[in-house]
Amino acid sequence: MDSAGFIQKLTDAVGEDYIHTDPVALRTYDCDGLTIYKGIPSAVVLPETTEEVSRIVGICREYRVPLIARGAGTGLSGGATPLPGGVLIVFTRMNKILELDYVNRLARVQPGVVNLHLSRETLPHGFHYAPDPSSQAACTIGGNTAENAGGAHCLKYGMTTNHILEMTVVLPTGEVVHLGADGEDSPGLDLRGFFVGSEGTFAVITELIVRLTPNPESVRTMLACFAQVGDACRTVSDVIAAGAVPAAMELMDRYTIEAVETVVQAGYPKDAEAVLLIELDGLPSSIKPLETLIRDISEKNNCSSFRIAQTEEEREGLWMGRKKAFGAFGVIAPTYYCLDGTVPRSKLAQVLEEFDEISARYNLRITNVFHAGDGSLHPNVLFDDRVPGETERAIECGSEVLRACIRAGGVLSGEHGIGIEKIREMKDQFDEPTLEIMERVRDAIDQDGLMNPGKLIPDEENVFPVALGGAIARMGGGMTK
Amino acid sequence: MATDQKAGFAQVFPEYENPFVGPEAPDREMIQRCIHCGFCGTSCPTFTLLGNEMDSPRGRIYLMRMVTDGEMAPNETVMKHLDRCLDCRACETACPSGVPYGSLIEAAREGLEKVRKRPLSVRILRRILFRWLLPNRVLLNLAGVATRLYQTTFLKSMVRGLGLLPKKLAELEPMMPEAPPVSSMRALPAEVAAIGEEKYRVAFFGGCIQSTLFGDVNRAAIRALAANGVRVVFPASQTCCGALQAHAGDREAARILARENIDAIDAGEFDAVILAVSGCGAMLHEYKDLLAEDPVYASRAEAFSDKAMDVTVFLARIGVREAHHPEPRKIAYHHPCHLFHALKVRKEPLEVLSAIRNVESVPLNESDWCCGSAGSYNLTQTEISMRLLDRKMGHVKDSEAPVVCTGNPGCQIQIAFGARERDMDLRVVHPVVLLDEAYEAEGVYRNATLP
Ligand SMILES: Cc1cc2nc3c(=O)[nH]c(=O)nc-3n(C[C@H](O)[C@H](O)[C@H](O)COP(=O)(O)OP(=O)(O)OC[C@H]3O[C@@H](n4cnc5c(N)ncnc54)[C@H](O)[C@@H]3O)c2cc1C
Ligand code: SF4
Ligand code: SF4
Repeated sequence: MDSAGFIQKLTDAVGEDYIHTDPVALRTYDCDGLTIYKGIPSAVVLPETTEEVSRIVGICREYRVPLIARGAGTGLSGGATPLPGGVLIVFTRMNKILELDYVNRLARVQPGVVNLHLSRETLPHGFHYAPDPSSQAACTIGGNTAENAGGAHCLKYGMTTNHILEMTVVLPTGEVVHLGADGEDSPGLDLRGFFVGSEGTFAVITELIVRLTPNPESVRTMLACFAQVGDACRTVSDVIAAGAVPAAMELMDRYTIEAVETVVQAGYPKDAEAVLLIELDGLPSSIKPLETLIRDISEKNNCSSFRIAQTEEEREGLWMGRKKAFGAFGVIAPTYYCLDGTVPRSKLAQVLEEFDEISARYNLRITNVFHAGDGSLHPNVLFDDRVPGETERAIECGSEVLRACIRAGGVLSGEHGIGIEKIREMKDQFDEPTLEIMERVRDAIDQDGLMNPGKLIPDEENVFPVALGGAIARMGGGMTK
Repeated sequence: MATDQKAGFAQVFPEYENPFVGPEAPDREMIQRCIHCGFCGTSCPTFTLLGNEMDSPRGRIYLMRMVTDGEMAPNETVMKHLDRCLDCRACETACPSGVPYGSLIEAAREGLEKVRKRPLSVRILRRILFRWLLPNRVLLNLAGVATRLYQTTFLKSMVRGLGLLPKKLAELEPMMPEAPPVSSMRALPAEVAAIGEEKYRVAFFGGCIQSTLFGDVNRAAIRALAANGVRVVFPASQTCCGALQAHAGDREAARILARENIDAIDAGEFDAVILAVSGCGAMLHEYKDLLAEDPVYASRAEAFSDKAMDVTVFLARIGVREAHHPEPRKIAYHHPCHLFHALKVRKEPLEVLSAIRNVESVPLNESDWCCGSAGSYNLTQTEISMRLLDRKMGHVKDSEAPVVCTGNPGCQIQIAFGARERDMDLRVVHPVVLLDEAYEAEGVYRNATLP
């Protein structure tokens, strides 16, 4: 291949200030939030418009070079990790909010807009963008769409896909198409639905119309503390069983509390075994009875204290702890292994007890911080990768944790996406015919296999070089040595 | 470990020595704390402006890690991206993992100085500036007087020597602050008694550039302290704090100065060591880390750092005396980076301002963002600095406040320059100066002997 010619064409497409080919610069793009897999791209381009993206895609197609989209690179499954030699299209410059339409409750944005920035802009006008992954201060709406990201408030408001109305995408051919419609209903096949969560394997998103959600009339945020994790879990299932749908219900265990308090001082009691962070929103008159109900249920389950945030500052403090929990593990352990699984809510207490037993057996701490309301678990195995043998033990421990989830009737959930990380497990989760349909859909759209190859949908042979053995692929966070 | 690292590095990059080896190098344990989550990106001004991973905190830590581990040479590109860091430490505030970014970047800069190829003349100029001019009050005042006399470029031609100056030097000319009258450079009195009952006794730290260019701010702070029942002692043998040196990679010079200051001010004798210049304040707090390995000074440095305090923090803690300002005004408060992100002083300056009953603070968007001044950054990275200033001035305009309050001389110079450039009628002033004006107008100082 004429690589000088290729780079020259890319340079002409974006301008020389917005292409990187220096090996040092390229190294910093070799992985996302999952640092186990690395691939060095041949070029990084930072386009500014849909037209530029379309030109880049055309050039890559002409030279048969794979391309990988990247938002903020906060992904935890290797979605934005480049196939070595591929071209990375980074959306940090396409970060403009193009239109805010409060009458029709929608926003037209570029994919590089940071999730929280959209809400920050619209909050004073009475609206916000509802999906709120813990990474919302950094991750992009394009990345959220590609991963169908979830968050604490998705319990009540739904995942990202419920908030994406229309998207403009550049197909692997370089053609620009619009999927979905800015109204509630769009005729024809729901192509928009196909593309949400496709992890950049179908097309590159260059513009989105997203739903804006009215701010709730009022919000009550409370912290229930427990001396037993089981009591906290029972509170969760009792609340849901009583028919209440809080806006959010998050559980954090003792280790998480310890880590969070070391870093941000969110005000969680250090002697509690578990805390539940519960948020209610809606009309004050509808919140009041719910609040009483939740307090009663918590008390029935032996909660040791129950606190309601009295000021906005206090409320933000309580949430700050939750949002920074993952990062805070970096303080209490050199490395952690973040798992992603879902279990029926009624089994939460039982599964967590099993985790305790596994943790004792492996002599490794397992922390739990998760969206308890929908049973979406994030167990983290803490370990020190510099101690010989500990990494292997952590991996074994992690797979036992996942097996415990599956035994309890759960699944390996995909809130963090499949990426490279869970691509092998796809075969455990789906049967042959289902996988084949996925593959055929993808191949119909991306005929040359150039869009983010080696991710999401397993191929016969794995195109992504796997430096490390199978299970280690699930390692989330923790910069490895 | 260190020797292995060194040997391995030498094999891969025979033309370089590994600059990140040894006790003063970026702490590998702390680099390890970074979990590569990217949460810090949106708080970083350079990442926000440029959009490049290697201009983000996460990318910079990655570069440091790779050089430390011998996977990458400390070449021009590494330097370019580490040099572009403002050292504003906004990323520390955002980081959920407690990565002490500020100490990593300063250690990295010290290391890079070892391998950086600077012309001999530049090396000599840096040495003159950092080790000779800044720590010398007489010389610095002379420079100030010279600047005043000719509004010429004596100081600046020294600073030019920092290297990496952009071609269009002419652009820098207007950035030069107007030097104050010579009277404001006069030395501070050795001791000022409290007005009324003496409740506290503090040592005052003047700061080098502050004393030359903003001597009036120091005097205002001392008067305001006296008005709050504080006796203020000014130990004369104190010197420059060493912050500019440390930020530019000459930490050895900073250590020498730190020892001198610790000798000059016996911190144990005072309720606090007070400053009205936030950049120096952050440095005094860092003395304990800077001298942690020093067998003689380590424990004294710790005691010293623990006593250092911004004047607004001290006043807020003791319950600042209220007053009316003669001209009721709207003010916008800009947070100096080191005060906000490094020292986490966030509410106190606003508390002091709220003690001035008829001054109203209005919200300033991104008030905790760097204005682009950042030590000598506006001289070495002028283009990025000016883009940041533009952003800042836009927010100042939107706030519609005719006064910007901020506690750091660098920010004051930069924002005042921004206002001049844009023909804005804007007063830029330290919060304590407004307080002092209010006390003065109310007659608090009547019959007192004050500087
Ligand atoms: C500490 C931490 C906490 C997290 N918490 C949550 C959580 O609560 N919930 C959750 O769902 N996730 C969470 N995540 C994971 C991550 O933040 C989300 O997956 C997020 O959606 C990724 O967004 P990004 O902009 O960083 O995308 P990237 O990581 O850059 O990319 C993610 C994927 O999207 C693709 N992509 C990006 N932009 C485009 C585009 N314009 N067009 C096509 N494809 C594109 C990439 O190719 C890749 O496959 C967390 C991550 C971290 C580090
Ligand atoms: S926020 Fe902290 S842990 Fe996360 S990437 Fe930035 S420095 Fe690293
Ligand atoms: S110190 Fe400031 S400029 Fe440097 S990486 Fe951190 S946020 Fe960015």
